[in-house]
Amino acid sequence: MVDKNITDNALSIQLQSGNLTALTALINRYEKPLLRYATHLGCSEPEDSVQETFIKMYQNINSYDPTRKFSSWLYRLAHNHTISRLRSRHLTLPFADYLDSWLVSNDTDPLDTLATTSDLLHCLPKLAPHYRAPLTLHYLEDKSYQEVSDILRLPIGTISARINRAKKIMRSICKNNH
Amino acid sequence: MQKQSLIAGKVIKEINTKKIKIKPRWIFVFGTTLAVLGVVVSMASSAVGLYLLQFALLHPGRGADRKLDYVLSTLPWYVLPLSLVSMAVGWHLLKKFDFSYRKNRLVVTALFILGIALGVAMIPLTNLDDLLYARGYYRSALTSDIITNNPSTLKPNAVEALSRALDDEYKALATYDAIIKKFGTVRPFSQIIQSEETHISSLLGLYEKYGLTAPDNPYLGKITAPETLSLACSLGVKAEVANAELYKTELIPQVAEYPDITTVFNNLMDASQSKHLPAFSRCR
Repeated sequence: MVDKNITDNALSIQLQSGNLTALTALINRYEKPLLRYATHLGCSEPEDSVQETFIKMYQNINSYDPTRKFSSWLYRLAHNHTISRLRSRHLTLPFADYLDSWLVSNDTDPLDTLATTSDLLHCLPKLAPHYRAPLTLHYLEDKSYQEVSDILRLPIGTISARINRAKKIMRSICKNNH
Repeated sequence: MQKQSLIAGKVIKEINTKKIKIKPRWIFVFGTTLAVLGVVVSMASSAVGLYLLQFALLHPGRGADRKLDYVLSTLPWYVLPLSLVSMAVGWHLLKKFDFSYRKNRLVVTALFILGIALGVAMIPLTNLDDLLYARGYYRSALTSDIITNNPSTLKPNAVEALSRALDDEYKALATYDAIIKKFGTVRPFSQIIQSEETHISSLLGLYEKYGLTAPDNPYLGKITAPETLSLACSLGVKAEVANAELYKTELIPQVAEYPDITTVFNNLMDASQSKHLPAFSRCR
Protein backbone atom coordinates (compact mmCIF):
# COMPACT_ATOMS: atom_id res chain seq x y z
CA MET A 1 0.00 0.00 0.00
CA VAL A 2 1.42 3.39 -0.94
CA ASP A 3 1.50 5.95 1.83
CA LYS A 4 -1.05 8.68 1.09
CA ASN A 5 1.38 11.32 2.27
CA ILE A 6 4.02 10.40 -0.26
CA THR A 7 4.46 13.23 -2.75
CA ASP A 8 3.92 13.07 -6.49
CA ASN A 9 7.58 13.78 -7.02
CA ALA A 10 8.63 10.86 -4.80
CA LEU A 11 6.24 8.58 -6.70
CA SER A 12 7.55 9.81 -10.05
CA ILE A 13 11.11 9.06 -8.95
CA GLN A 14 10.03 5.54 -7.98
CA LEU A 15 8.31 5.20 -11.33
CA GLN A 16 11.48 6.27 -13.13
CA SER A 17 13.06 3.11 -11.73
CA GLY A 18 10.15 1.04 -13.10
CA ASN A 19 8.03 0.68 -9.94
CA LEU A 20 4.51 -0.23 -11.13
CA THR A 21 3.02 0.32 -7.67
CA ALA A 22 4.04 3.96 -7.97
CA LEU A 23 2.36 4.02 -11.40
CA THR A 24 -0.87 2.69 -9.93
CA ALA A 25 -0.75 5.27 -7.14
CA LEU A 26 -0.24 8.11 -9.62
CA ILE A 27 -3.08 6.87 -11.82
CA ASN A 28 -5.39 6.64 -8.80
CA ARG A 29 -4.52 10.23 -7.89
CA TYR A 30 -4.95 11.78 -11.31
CA GLU A 31 -7.51 9.59 -13.03
CA LYS A 32 -10.56 11.66 -12.10
CA PRO A 33 -9.09 15.12 -12.67
CA LEU A 34 -7.73 14.07 -16.06
CA LEU A 35 -11.02 12.45 -17.09
CA ARG A 36 -12.76 15.67 -16.16
CA TYR A 37 -10.23 17.78 -18.04
CA ALA A 38 -10.36 15.64 -21.19
CA THR A 39 -14.13 15.87 -21.12
CA HIS A 40 -14.02 19.61 -20.66
CA LEU A 41 -11.83 19.89 -23.71
CA GLY A 42 -14.53 18.17 -25.70
CA CYS A 43 -13.20 14.62 -25.86
CA SER A 44 -15.95 12.08 -26.50
CA GLU A 45 -13.91 9.12 -25.26
CA PRO A 46 -12.20 10.52 -22.20
CA GLU A 47 -11.42 7.09 -20.70
CA ASP A 48 -9.46 6.05 -23.78
CA SER A 49 -7.69 9.40 -23.93
CA VAL A 50 -6.72 9.29 -20.25
CA GLN A 51 -5.61 5.66 -20.49
CA GLU A 52 -3.33 6.57 -23.39
CA THR A 53 -2.08 9.59 -21.46
CA PHE A 54 -1.04 7.36 -18.55
CA ILE A 55 0.77 5.01 -20.91
CA LYS A 56 2.60 8.03 -22.35
CA MET A 57 3.36 9.15 -18.83
CA TYR A 58 4.91 5.75 -18.12
CA GLN A 59 6.95 5.75 -21.34
CA ASN A 60 8.16 9.31 -20.95
CA ILE A 61 8.61 9.50 -17.20
CA ASN A 62 12.35 10.02 -17.69
CA SER A 63 11.64 13.33 -19.41
CA TYR A 64 10.02 14.60 -16.22
CA ASP A 65 12.24 16.90 -14.19
CA PRO A 66 11.48 16.26 -10.48
CA THR A 67 12.34 19.87 -9.63
CA ARG A 68 9.16 20.91 -11.45
CA LYS A 69 5.58 20.33 -10.38
CA PHE A 70 4.47 16.84 -11.42
CA SER A 71 0.81 17.71 -11.92
CA SER A 72 1.69 20.46 -14.42
CA TRP A 73 3.82 18.03 -16.40
CA LEU A 74 1.06 15.42 -16.40
CA TYR A 75 -1.66 17.89 -17.34
CA ARG A 76 0.58 19.06 -20.17
CA LEU A 77 0.78 15.48 -21.48
CA ALA A 78 -2.96 15.05 -21.11
CA HIS A 79 -3.67 18.38 -22.83
CA ASN A 80 -1.43 17.63 -25.81
CA HIS A 81 -2.73 14.10 -26.16
CA THR A 82 -6.39 15.10 -25.94
CA ILE A 83 -5.97 17.98 -28.39
CA SER A 84 -4.17 15.77 -30.90
CA ARG A 85 -6.92 13.14 -30.54
CA LEU A 86 -9.54 15.78 -31.17
CA ARG A 87 -7.66 17.10 -34.17
CA SER A 88 -7.07 13.68 -35.68
CA ARG A 89 -10.69 12.65 -35.30
CA HIS A 90 -12.26 16.07 -35.73
CA LEU A 91 -14.09 15.48 -32.52
CA THR A 92 -15.81 18.20 -30.63
CA LEU A 93 -18.50 17.44 -28.19
CA PRO A 94 -20.83 19.58 -26.22
CA PHE A 95 -19.63 20.39 -22.80
CA ALA A 96 -19.83 17.29 -20.69
CA ASP A 97 -22.02 16.09 -17.94
CA TYR A 98 -19.04 16.54 -15.69
CA LEU A 99 -19.55 20.28 -15.75
CA ASP A 100 -23.16 19.86 -14.80
CA SER A 101 -22.31 17.67 -11.85
CA TRP A 102 -19.47 19.95 -10.87
CA LEU A 103 -21.70 23.00 -10.92
CA VAL A 104 -24.42 21.25 -8.99
CA SER A 105 -21.99 20.12 -6.33
CA ASN A 106 -20.39 23.54 -5.93
CA ASP A 107 -22.02 26.47 -4.25
CA THR A 108 -20.13 29.22 -6.00
CA ASP A 109 -20.26 30.05 -9.63
CA PRO A 110 -16.71 30.26 -10.89
CA LEU A 111 -17.54 32.80 -13.49
CA ASP A 112 -19.16 35.26 -11.11
CA THR A 113 -21.51 37.00 -13.43
CA LEU A 114 -22.90 33.97 -15.20
CA ALA A 115 -25.96 33.12 -13.28
CA THR A 116 -27.16 29.61 -13.96
CA THR A 117 -25.85 26.17 -14.72
CA SER A 118 -27.98 26.16 -17.79
CA ASP A 119 -26.25 29.31 -19.03
CA LEU A 120 -22.85 27.72 -18.69
CA LEU A 121 -23.90 24.52 -20.37
CA HIS A 122 -25.12 26.46 -23.34
CA CYS A 123 -22.25 28.89 -23.52
CA LEU A 124 -19.06 27.03 -22.69
CA PRO A 125 -19.08 24.59 -25.59
CA LYS A 126 -19.22 27.52 -27.96
CA LEU A 127 -15.89 28.83 -26.76
CA ALA A 128 -12.89 28.18 -28.95
CA PRO A 129 -10.52 25.54 -27.49
CA HIS A 130 -7.74 28.06 -26.87
CA TYR A 131 -10.11 29.94 -24.57
CA ARG A 132 -11.77 26.87 -23.12
CA ALA A 133 -8.52 25.23 -21.96
CA PRO A 134 -7.24 28.05 -19.71
CA LEU A 135 -10.74 28.76 -18.41
CA THR A 136 -11.29 25.11 -17.54
CA LEU A 137 -7.89 24.69 -15.92
CA HIS A 138 -8.23 27.80 -13.83
CA TYR A 139 -11.85 27.59 -12.74
CA LEU A 140 -12.69 23.92 -12.90
CA GLU A 141 -9.33 22.31 -12.18
CA ASP A 142 -8.40 24.98 -9.68
CA LYS A 143 -4.98 25.65 -11.19
CA SER A 144 -3.16 28.89 -10.54
CA TYR A 145 -2.22 31.14 -13.46
CA GLN A 146 1.39 29.94 -13.12
CA GLU A 147 0.29 26.31 -13.33
CA VAL A 148 -1.96 27.02 -16.32
CA SER A 149 0.99 28.78 -17.91
CA ASP A 150 3.20 25.71 -17.25
CA ILE A 151 0.59 23.33 -18.64
CA LEU A 152 -0.23 25.27 -21.79
CA ARG A 153 3.33 26.59 -22.24
CA LEU A 154 2.12 30.12 -22.66
CA PRO A 155 3.28 33.27 -20.87
CA ILE A 156 1.27 34.22 -17.79
CA GLY A 157 0.22 37.46 -19.46
CA THR A 158 -1.31 35.49 -22.33
CA ILE A 159 -3.12 33.19 -19.91
CA SER A 160 -4.52 36.11 -18.00
CA ALA A 161 -5.62 37.83 -21.19
CA ARG A 162 -7.24 34.68 -22.55
CA ILE A 163 -9.17 34.02 -19.36
CA ASN A 164 -10.45 37.58 -19.25
CA ARG A 165 -11.33 37.48 -22.90
CA ALA A 166 -13.03 34.10 -22.47
CA LYS A 167 -15.17 35.48 -19.66
CA LYS A 168 -16.25 38.41 -21.82
CA ILE A 169 -17.09 36.12 -24.72
CA MET A 170 -19.01 33.85 -22.35
CA ARG A 171 -21.07 36.76 -21.10
CA SER A 172 -21.76 37.83 -24.64
CA ILE A 173 -22.72 34.34 -25.79
CA CYS A 174 -24.95 33.81 -22.78
CA LYS A 175 -26.62 37.16 -23.27
CA ASN A 176 -27.47 36.29 -26.86
CA ASN A 177 -28.90 32.95 -25.76
CA HIS A 178 -31.51 34.59 -23.58
CA MET B 1 -0.91 -3.88 -2.55
CA GLN B 2 -2.17 -0.67 -4.13
CA LYS B 3 -5.86 -0.87 -4.98
CA GLN B 4 -6.27 -0.45 -8.73
CA SER B 5 -8.94 1.59 -10.46
CA LEU B 6 -10.36 0.35 -13.73
CA ILE B 7 -8.11 2.61 -15.78
CA ALA B 8 -5.05 1.66 -13.72
CA GLY B 9 -5.83 -2.00 -14.33
CA LYS B 10 -6.12 -1.44 -18.08
CA VAL B 11 -2.90 0.57 -18.19
CA ILE B 12 -0.91 -2.04 -16.25
CA LYS B 13 -2.36 -4.79 -18.42
CA GLU B 14 -1.43 -2.96 -21.62
CA ILE B 15 2.08 -2.28 -20.36
CA ASN B 16 2.53 -5.97 -19.56
CA THR B 17 0.93 -7.44 -22.67
CA LYS B 18 2.51 -5.03 -25.14
CA LYS B 19 5.79 -5.03 -23.20
CA ILE B 20 5.84 -1.23 -23.15
CA LYS B 21 9.12 0.11 -21.78
CA ILE B 22 10.15 3.36 -20.16
CA LYS B 23 12.23 5.34 -22.64
CA PRO B 24 15.78 5.77 -21.35
CA ARG B 25 16.88 9.19 -20.17
CA TRP B 26 19.55 9.54 -22.88
CA ILE B 27 16.84 9.81 -25.54
CA PHE B 28 15.55 13.00 -23.92
CA VAL B 29 19.05 14.36 -23.36
CA PHE B 30 19.81 13.62 -27.00
CA GLY B 31 16.59 15.33 -28.07
CA THR B 32 17.42 18.45 -26.08
CA THR B 33 20.97 18.48 -27.47
CA LEU B 34 19.61 18.19 -31.00
CA ALA B 35 17.21 21.07 -30.35
CA VAL B 36 20.06 23.27 -29.06
CA LEU B 37 22.19 22.29 -32.04
CA GLY B 38 19.25 23.02 -34.31
CA VAL B 39 19.00 26.56 -32.96
CA VAL B 40 22.76 27.10 -33.30
CA VAL B 41 22.89 25.68 -36.84
CA SER B 42 19.83 27.63 -37.89
CA MET B 43 21.32 30.85 -36.57
CA ALA B 44 24.64 30.12 -38.28
CA SER B 45 23.06 29.32 -41.64
CA SER B 46 20.84 32.39 -41.37
CA ALA B 47 23.93 34.47 -40.65
CA VAL B 48 25.77 33.06 -43.68
CA GLY B 49 22.79 33.65 -45.96
CA LEU B 50 22.35 37.20 -44.71
CA TYR B 51 26.07 37.86 -44.93
CA LEU B 52 26.06 36.86 -48.59
CA LEU B 53 23.11 39.16 -49.15
CA GLN B 54 24.89 41.96 -47.30
CA PHE B 55 27.96 41.32 -49.42
CA ALA B 56 25.91 41.65 -52.56
CA LEU B 57 24.32 44.86 -51.39
CA LEU B 58 27.34 46.60 -49.91
CA HIS B 59 29.84 45.85 -52.68
CA PRO B 60 27.98 47.10 -55.67
CA GLY B 61 30.75 48.87 -57.57
CA ARG B 62 29.94 49.43 -61.18
CA GLY B 63 27.06 47.58 -62.68
CA ALA B 64 25.34 47.68 -59.29
CA ASP B 65 21.96 47.25 -60.83
CA ARG B 66 22.88 43.81 -62.04
CA LYS B 67 25.37 42.85 -59.40
CA LEU B 68 22.84 41.55 -56.90
CA ASP B 69 21.24 39.38 -59.54
CA TYR B 70 24.66 38.15 -60.48
CA VAL B 71 25.73 37.27 -56.96
CA LEU B 72 22.44 35.54 -56.32
CA SER B 73 22.81 33.59 -59.54
CA THR B 74 26.28 32.42 -58.53
CA LEU B 75 25.09 31.23 -55.13
CA PRO B 76 23.59 27.80 -54.76
CA TRP B 77 19.86 28.48 -55.25
CA TYR B 78 19.01 27.11 -51.84
CA VAL B 79 21.20 29.48 -49.78
CA LEU B 80 18.70 32.27 -49.29
CA PRO B 81 15.56 30.13 -48.88
CA LEU B 82 17.61 27.95 -46.54
CA SER B 83 18.60 30.93 -44.44
CA LEU B 84 14.98 32.05 -44.15
CA VAL B 85 13.76 28.55 -43.37
CA SER B 86 16.58 28.18 -40.85
CA MET B 87 15.48 31.37 -39.17
CA ALA B 88 11.92 30.09 -38.94
CA VAL B 89 13.05 26.67 -37.65
CA GLY B 90 15.33 28.29 -35.08
CA TRP B 91 12.52 30.52 -33.89
CA HIS B 92 10.13 27.56 -33.67
CA LEU B 93 12.67 25.52 -31.69
CA LEU B 94 13.24 28.44 -29.34
CA LYS B 95 9.53 28.68 -28.74
CA LYS B 96 9.36 24.96 -28.04
CA PHE B 97 12.06 25.18 -25.44
CA ASP B 98 10.85 24.49 -21.97
CA PHE B 99 11.86 27.88 -20.65
CA SER B 100 10.77 30.11 -23.49
CA TYR B 101 7.16 30.67 -22.44
CA ARG B 102 8.37 31.95 -19.08
CA LYS B 103 10.52 34.60 -20.73
CA ASN B 104 9.50 37.82 -22.27
CA ARG B 105 8.92 37.00 -25.91
CA LEU B 106 10.28 40.36 -27.00
CA VAL B 107 13.55 39.66 -25.19
CA VAL B 108 13.83 36.18 -26.73
CA THR B 109 13.11 37.63 -30.19
CA ALA B 110 15.62 40.42 -29.67
CA LEU B 111 18.30 37.94 -28.54
CA PHE B 112 17.59 35.71 -31.52
CA ILE B 113 17.94 38.59 -33.97
CA LEU B 114 20.98 39.90 -32.13
CA GLY B 115 22.57 36.45 -32.33
CA ILE B 116 22.08 36.33 -36.09
CA ALA B 117 23.36 39.90 -36.50
CA LEU B 118 26.39 39.03 -34.40
CA GLY B 119 26.94 35.97 -36.58
CA VAL B 120 26.83 38.15 -39.70
CA ALA B 121 29.38 40.53 -38.14
CA MET B 122 31.62 37.66 -37.01
CA ILE B 123 31.93 36.16 -40.48
CA PRO B 124 34.42 38.74 -41.81
CA LEU B 125 36.13 39.10 -38.41
CA THR B 126 36.89 35.39 -38.26
CA ASN B 127 37.84 35.24 -41.95
CA LEU B 128 35.04 32.79 -42.53
CA ASP B 129 34.25 34.78 -45.65
CA ASP B 130 37.57 33.65 -47.09
CA LEU B 131 36.50 30.10 -46.47
CA LEU B 132 33.20 30.81 -48.21
CA TYR B 133 35.14 32.35 -51.02
CA ALA B 134 37.37 29.28 -51.24
CA ARG B 135 34.21 27.16 -51.47
CA GLY B 136 33.31 29.22 -54.51
CA TYR B 137 30.17 30.84 -53.10
CA TYR B 138 30.92 34.28 -54.42
CA ARG B 139 34.14 33.87 -56.32
CA SER B 140 32.36 34.60 -59.57
CA ALA B 141 31.05 37.85 -58.18
CA LEU B 142 34.58 38.95 -57.42
CA THR B 143 36.21 37.80 -60.58
CA SER B 144 33.65 38.56 -63.22
CA ASP B 145 30.63 40.61 -64.05
CA ILE B 146 27.44 40.11 -65.88
CA ILE B 147 28.90 42.10 -68.73
CA THR B 148 31.22 39.78 -70.54
CA ASN B 149 34.13 41.54 -72.10
CA ASN B 150 35.73 40.14 -75.14
CA PRO B 151 39.30 39.17 -74.16
CA SER B 152 40.65 40.61 -77.37
CA THR B 153 39.39 44.06 -76.42
CA LEU B 154 41.46 44.37 -73.21
CA LYS B 155 43.56 47.45 -73.78
CA PRO B 156 47.26 47.68 -72.86
CA ASN B 157 46.65 50.09 -69.99
CA ALA B 158 44.16 47.64 -68.47
CA VAL B 159 46.65 44.80 -68.88
CA GLU B 160 49.23 46.95 -67.15
CA ALA B 161 46.82 47.76 -64.30
CA LEU B 162 46.10 44.08 -63.87
CA SER B 163 49.80 43.31 -63.84
CA ARG B 164 50.55 45.99 -61.23
CA ALA B 165 47.68 44.84 -59.03
CA LEU B 166 48.94 41.26 -59.15
CA ASP B 167 52.48 42.42 -58.46
CA ASP B 168 51.35 44.37 -55.42
CA GLU B 169 49.40 41.42 -54.04
CA TYR B 170 52.33 39.07 -54.75
CA LYS B 171 54.64 41.38 -52.80
CA ALA B 172 52.25 41.54 -49.86
CA LEU B 173 51.90 37.77 -49.80
CA ALA B 174 55.68 37.25 -49.89
CA THR B 175 56.19 39.82 -47.11
CA TYR B 176 53.63 38.20 -44.80
CA ASP B 177 55.04 34.80 -45.66
CA ALA B 178 58.52 35.95 -44.56
CA ILE B 179 57.07 37.38 -41.33
CA ILE B 180 55.27 34.12 -40.51
CA LYS B 181 58.44 32.15 -41.21
CA LYS B 182 60.34 34.37 -38.80
CA PHE B 183 57.81 34.84 -36.01
CA GLY B 184 55.62 31.76 -36.40
CA THR B 185 51.89 31.62 -37.10
CA VAL B 186 51.00 34.92 -35.48
CA ARG B 187 47.88 36.99 -35.91
CA PRO B 188 46.94 39.00 -37.87
CA PHE B 189 49.50 37.81 -40.42
CA SER B 190 48.27 34.23 -40.36
CA GLN B 191 44.76 35.41 -41.27
CA ILE B 192 45.70 38.13 -43.71
CA ILE B 193 48.00 35.87 -45.70
CA GLN B 194 44.98 33.68 -46.46
CA SER B 195 43.13 36.74 -47.56
CA GLU B 196 46.01 37.73 -49.84
CA GLU B 197 45.84 34.30 -51.43
CA THR B 198 42.19 34.95 -52.06
CA HIS B 199 42.95 38.32 -53.64
CA ILE B 200 45.58 36.75 -55.88
CA SER B 201 43.13 34.07 -56.85
CA SER B 202 40.61 36.77 -57.88
CA LEU B 203 43.20 38.47 -60.07
CA LEU B 204 44.31 35.17 -61.57
CA GLY B 205 40.68 34.58 -62.43
CA LEU B 206 40.73 37.76 -64.48
CA TYR B 207 43.96 36.70 -66.16
CA GLU B 208 42.32 33.46 -67.11
CA LYS B 209 39.19 35.19 -68.30
CA TYR B 210 41.11 37.45 -70.64
CA GLY B 211 43.42 34.74 -71.87
CA LEU B 212 46.50 36.32 -70.31
CA THR B 213 49.41 34.43 -68.85
CA ALA B 214 50.05 35.30 -65.24
CA PRO B 215 53.62 35.41 -63.94
CA ASP B 216 54.71 33.43 -60.88
CA ASN B 217 55.32 35.28 -57.64
CA PRO B 218 58.84 36.71 -58.04
CA TYR B 219 59.07 37.83 -54.40
CA LEU B 220 58.55 34.56 -52.57
CA GLY B 221 61.57 33.74 -50.40
CA LYS B 222 63.34 36.92 -51.41
CA ILE B 223 61.93 39.32 -48.84
CA THR B 224 63.51 39.85 -45.44
CA ALA B 225 61.15 40.15 -42.50
CA PRO B 226 61.46 43.14 -40.15
CA GLU B 227 63.36 42.77 -36.86
CA THR B 228 60.34 42.87 -34.58
CA LEU B 229 56.70 42.01 -34.83
CA SER B 230 55.77 45.58 -33.99
CA LEU B 231 57.82 46.80 -36.94
CA ALA B 232 56.15 44.18 -39.08
CA CYS B 233 52.73 45.52 -38.08
CA SER B 234 53.80 49.08 -38.88
CA LEU B 235 55.01 47.86 -42.23
CA GLY B 236 51.64 46.20 -42.74
CA VAL B 237 49.84 49.48 -42.08
CA LYS B 238 52.02 51.32 -44.58
CA ALA B 239 51.59 48.59 -47.18
CA GLU B 240 47.81 48.55 -46.86
CA VAL B 241 47.59 52.34 -47.05
CA ALA B 242 49.79 52.32 -50.15
CA ASN B 243 47.79 49.46 -51.62
CA ALA B 244 44.50 51.33 -51.26
CA GLU B 245 46.04 54.46 -52.68
CA LEU B 246 47.39 52.54 -55.65
CA TYR B 247 43.98 51.10 -56.49
CA LYS B 248 42.14 54.35 -55.92
CA THR B 249 44.33 56.80 -57.77
CA GLU B 250 45.94 54.69 -60.45
CA LEU B 251 44.60 51.24 -61.12
CA ILE B 252 40.83 51.73 -60.92
CA PRO B 253 40.82 54.73 -63.29
CA GLN B 254 42.91 52.68 -65.73
CA VAL B 255 40.27 49.95 -65.97
CA ALA B 256 37.22 52.23 -65.87
CA GLU B 257 35.78 50.79 -69.05
CA TYR B 258 35.91 47.25 -67.70
CA PRO B 259 33.21 46.85 -65.05
CA ASP B 260 34.31 43.35 -64.11
CA ILE B 261 37.90 44.39 -63.40
CA THR B 262 36.71 47.53 -61.64
CA THR B 263 34.50 45.44 -59.37
CA VAL B 264 37.38 43.17 -58.45
CA PHE B 265 39.70 46.11 -57.80
CA ASN B 266 37.07 47.82 -55.67
CA ASN B 267 36.56 44.68 -53.64
CA LEU B 268 40.28 44.22 -53.09
CA MET B 269 40.64 47.86 -52.05
CA ASP B 270 37.69 47.56 -49.67
CA ALA B 271 39.15 44.42 -48.09
CA SER B 272 42.46 46.15 -47.64
CA GLN B 273 40.86 49.17 -45.97
CA SER B 274 38.11 47.59 -43.95
CA LYS B 275 39.85 44.42 -42.79
CA HIS B 276 43.61 44.39 -43.16
CA LEU B 277 44.35 47.96 -42.16
CA PRO B 278 42.37 47.83 -38.88
CA ALA B 279 43.98 44.49 -38.01
CA PHE B 280 47.49 45.86 -38.51
CA SER B 281 46.65 49.08 -36.69
CA ARG B 282 45.58 47.06 -33.64
CA CYS B 283 48.77 44.99 -33.49
CA ARG B 284 51.13 47.90 -34.05
